[in-house]
Amino acid sequence: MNAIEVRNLVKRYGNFLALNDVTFNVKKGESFALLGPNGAGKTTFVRILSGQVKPTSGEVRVFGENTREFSKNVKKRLGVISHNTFLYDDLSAWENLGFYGKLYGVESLDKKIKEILSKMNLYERADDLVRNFSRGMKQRLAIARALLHSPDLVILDEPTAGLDIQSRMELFRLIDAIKAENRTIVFTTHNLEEVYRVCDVVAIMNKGQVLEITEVKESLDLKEYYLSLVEGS
Amino acid sequence: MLVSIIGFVLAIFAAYRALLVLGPERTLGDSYRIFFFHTPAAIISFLGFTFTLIFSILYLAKRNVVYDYVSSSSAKLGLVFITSALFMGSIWSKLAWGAYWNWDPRQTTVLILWFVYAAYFALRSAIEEFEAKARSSAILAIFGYVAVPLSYLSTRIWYSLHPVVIRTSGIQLEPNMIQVFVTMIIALTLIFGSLLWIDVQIKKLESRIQEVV
Amino acid sequence: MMQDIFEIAFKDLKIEFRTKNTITFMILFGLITSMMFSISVPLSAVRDVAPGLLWLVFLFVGLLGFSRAFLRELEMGTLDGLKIAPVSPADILLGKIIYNLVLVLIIELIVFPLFIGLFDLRVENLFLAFGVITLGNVGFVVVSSSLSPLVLKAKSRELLIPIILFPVIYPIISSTISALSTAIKGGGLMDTSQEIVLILSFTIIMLTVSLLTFDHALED
Repeated sequence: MNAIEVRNLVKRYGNFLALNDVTFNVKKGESFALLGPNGAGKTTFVRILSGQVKPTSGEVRVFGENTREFSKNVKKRLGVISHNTFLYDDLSAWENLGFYGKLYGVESLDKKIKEILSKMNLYERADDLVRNFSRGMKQRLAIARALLHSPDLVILDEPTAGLDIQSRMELFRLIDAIKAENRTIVFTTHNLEEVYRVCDVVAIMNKGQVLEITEVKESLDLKEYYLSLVEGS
Repeated sequence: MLVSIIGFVLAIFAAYRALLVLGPERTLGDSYRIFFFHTPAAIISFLGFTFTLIFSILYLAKRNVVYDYVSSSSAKLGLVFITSALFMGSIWSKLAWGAYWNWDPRQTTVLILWFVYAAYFALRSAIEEFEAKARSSAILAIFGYVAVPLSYLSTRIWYSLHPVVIRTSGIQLEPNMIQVFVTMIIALTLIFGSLLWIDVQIKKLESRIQEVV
Repeated sequence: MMQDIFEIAFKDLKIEFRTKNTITFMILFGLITSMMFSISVPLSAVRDVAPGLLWLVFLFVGLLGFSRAFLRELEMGTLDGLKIAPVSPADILLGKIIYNLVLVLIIELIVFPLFIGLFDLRVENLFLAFGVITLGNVGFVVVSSSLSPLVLKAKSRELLIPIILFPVIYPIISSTISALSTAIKGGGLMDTSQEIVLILSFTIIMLTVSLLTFDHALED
């Protein structure tokens, strides 16, 4: 059973080809890494996957539904963590989660917010405005925001940028918990270590194309493999 | 090519009849002859803006770039025709009503129409990314189209100096005048059509050149 | 559905009353333009031009303020958060419209009496005058909320907004001025019915068009 199906995906910005005929599947419960240099098309793919951008041609299906016409039900099953925190600076941490929680129709919201804020080590600062948070705290709150509604597909677009070591460990623990519940993860990064730590399958991307998809194993020398592919393309 | 030649020949023929063959009118004298240029130009501009509306909706629905080429080219031609109608109108207004500009409802609403499509091109020039440009301007064209029926109906809604030439009771023109008028409209439609076609071809070629380079 | 709309409007109002970024500027700007007009118009002409000027004050204030609702989301990066969330674009638009309507009502309550005071204007039919301005503002808010996302990717956005907005809302502008002068001169509801019907039907048409096109307006 596939959580994500990508078919002949093309995205053009003017004359720039951000994604060039990309096709692959992500199985349910899999943690899937997109690895590639800057400008490989990872973020464009994530924006299409989350329904923010429409593809030029081809399609992406998430839980069987085309991203072009996402229904609310499928959107409720997505959680996105990226360098953009999607947080309102002039609302408190609690108010931010409250607002998004209501949009996502989260049940017993107050309890959930309390739970996740404690988990992310932010409970004491719950009533402070996000404006006064450090970069790392904002990122932690953004993670809480994305996981509040227990999404079935978690999209992490370079989530570790701006995180200190402690928060990074906490994020990885959360990801382990998500994996344990057999939920699907899409993870973009250019950090090889993180791929080993988090992912089962890795797709190596460059210049808008997927060069290779392979299982992540201890025996795989990802560095060699990655360099040979990217430099060869 | 042939269409544009026929269009120009017809236009010259109609202009010849309008300026030299038809006799002077009873109250307006010779100045009424501008009617055969002013009104057809305005009508063709309405046609152009209607094209823009239709192809803007089509673009949003189908996302075919050619639809954007057609709608923007058509708006460009519409703007040219409405500008010339405005100028001819104000010259006529000076002769017939004594001033170049009277804030007559028709004049006002046509000026608003002009501003709508000027804004359309202002918006296009301010957005670099092609898709966003095509999308935003298509939406504006749908909103802005309201100015077209408004200026068409303006002489009926408000008191206006502009005569209502076509009524439900019939057309208030002599038969040979109708003939010239209709010939001119056909001629300008052909010219409009061929210019539109050429402009769209140019845009297609331009985008192909950009792709190659 | 309805709840999402109010959540969005309520969230915006909470932020606005906390920071007062937009509303204080709008009120100040309204007062400044009122004062400028009051200085520049000779006393003898006040009765003739006041209705137009009063409405112009609200137009200027609205052009300045209404587009902030979307621009602020864009600047903070939260617009993408809303797009990812399970809310339809139409809900986002309606939320913004409600938010802007609350803003403009507050501004009306402050600027309207002050303008009348500054011009020493005798308004024969006060309720109708206020009602007409409110109605005009409803139409104005609907169109400006719907069109402001079009400039999100444009250069010099703030300058572009009046250029694309004024010609589209011209029917509202002219009808409101005409109904407003009738009200100030003592006309009743029946004397302004034509204008009111025009503003109402125009607003409904514009709202329908925006709900139909708004999916595209918010695209990226």
